[in-house]
Amino acid sequence: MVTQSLKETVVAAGEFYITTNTKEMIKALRVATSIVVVVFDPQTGLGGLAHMALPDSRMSNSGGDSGFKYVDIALPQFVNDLVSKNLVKAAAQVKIIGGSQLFNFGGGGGNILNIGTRNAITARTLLTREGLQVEKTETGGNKPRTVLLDMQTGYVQVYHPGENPRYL
Amino acid sequence: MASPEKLQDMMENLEKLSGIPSVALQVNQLLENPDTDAQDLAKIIMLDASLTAQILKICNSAEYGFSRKIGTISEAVSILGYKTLKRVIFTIISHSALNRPVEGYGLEKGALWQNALTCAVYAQHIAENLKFRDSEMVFVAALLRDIGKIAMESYLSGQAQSIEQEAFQQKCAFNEAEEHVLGLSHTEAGSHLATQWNLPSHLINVILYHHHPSKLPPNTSVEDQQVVAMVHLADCFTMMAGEGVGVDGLMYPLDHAVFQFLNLPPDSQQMEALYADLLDLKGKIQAMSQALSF
Repeated sequence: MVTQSLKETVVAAGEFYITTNTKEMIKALRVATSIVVVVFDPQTGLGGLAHMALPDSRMSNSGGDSGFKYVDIALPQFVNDLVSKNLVKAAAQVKIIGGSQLFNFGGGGGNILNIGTRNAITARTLLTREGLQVEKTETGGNKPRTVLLDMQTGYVQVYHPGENPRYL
Repeated sequence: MASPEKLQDMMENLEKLSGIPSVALQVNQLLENPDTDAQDLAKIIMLDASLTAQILKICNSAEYGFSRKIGTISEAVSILGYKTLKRVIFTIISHSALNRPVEGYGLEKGALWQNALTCAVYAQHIAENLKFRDSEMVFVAALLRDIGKIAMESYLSGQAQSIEQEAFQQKCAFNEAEEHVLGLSHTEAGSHLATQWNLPSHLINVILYHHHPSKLPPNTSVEDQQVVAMVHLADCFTMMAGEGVGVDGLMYPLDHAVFQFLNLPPDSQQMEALYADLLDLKGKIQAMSQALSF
């Protein structure tokens, strides 16, 4: 039997990707304070991964950056594109991963750069608003995570640098 | 603090691994002196064929966008000027030292180099925003800040978890926990190496204090404080972006002394907007990285 190798697609911060190719592995590498939303619909075989760096586009220097690096811009568009490809919202397995933080031992003004926490909160809020139920999350902590979505099974694996992948 | 024997062992390990061209270090010393003759400089660079080829390749890359081809080192020296030439040479030095697997820190080949280049580009952008007089110097400092990780990596293997636990228990940064567990941190190892290479004091300060600018000695010049502070901020943003981040993760705090050193308000919105601008430099970083793929 000939084993067909998996196609690997890396999704960088500020990008999202959607596919139905069962021979594909979608990855986001070293997700630190960024946030990743993974959606897999077992009914249609549709899957996608959105990788976003910042919660709120209104916080940019220009006062309204439209880039997909922002959760409030990318996530509604990501869900919209999934729906246009026939996502069954009630069946969708939705996971949120990332949102790490720099160490903060309670020093003065420690909330500066709390982007990771706000990314996670914003992603969950917007997903709920879009009518998607979040099945699992792995957020917070002080380490980056690599995230893999296997399109054949819908399984999601997560790991920190120097560690072995585990299923989420 | 590590015993002298352990330190010697670590430094020999680094010398063996680094593969850093001695001509590059010689040239750096000449570049420190503004009276150095350009032709003398070109002659020394040309002693090293590989360094010569790499300098010419970078000068002719899209990053610099010169309208005509630069064919000789003499031309490169006169067109680039000493500050930019120094940045180019340190980029080559760092690439040869850092573009390797650093397994102790959980980094595959290319990750530590990507981390260094990202931090350098971020730091230079911050320096330009603040109208600092020599942003190329800040680039070089950021590029070299974690050179000590190469020396430490074999000692870190199997110890990362203990160091992490120590950091959480003692509420200290990962480099401080390295010192508690291993007797030496990557910042100390890097500063020993920089001293051996006769690098200037501001680079040694950056390597030693880039995680803790508030611990700089009180007699540090204002300019050195600012360089360390800019590299610290760039380092925090590089960790947040996850670029080439290893087992030490984001286990370093933001040192609020940087706001005082740089005369910046400790303002979340301003920092977040700056981070957004830095993320947009990704294309530039990729182009620079490609220019060094030999």
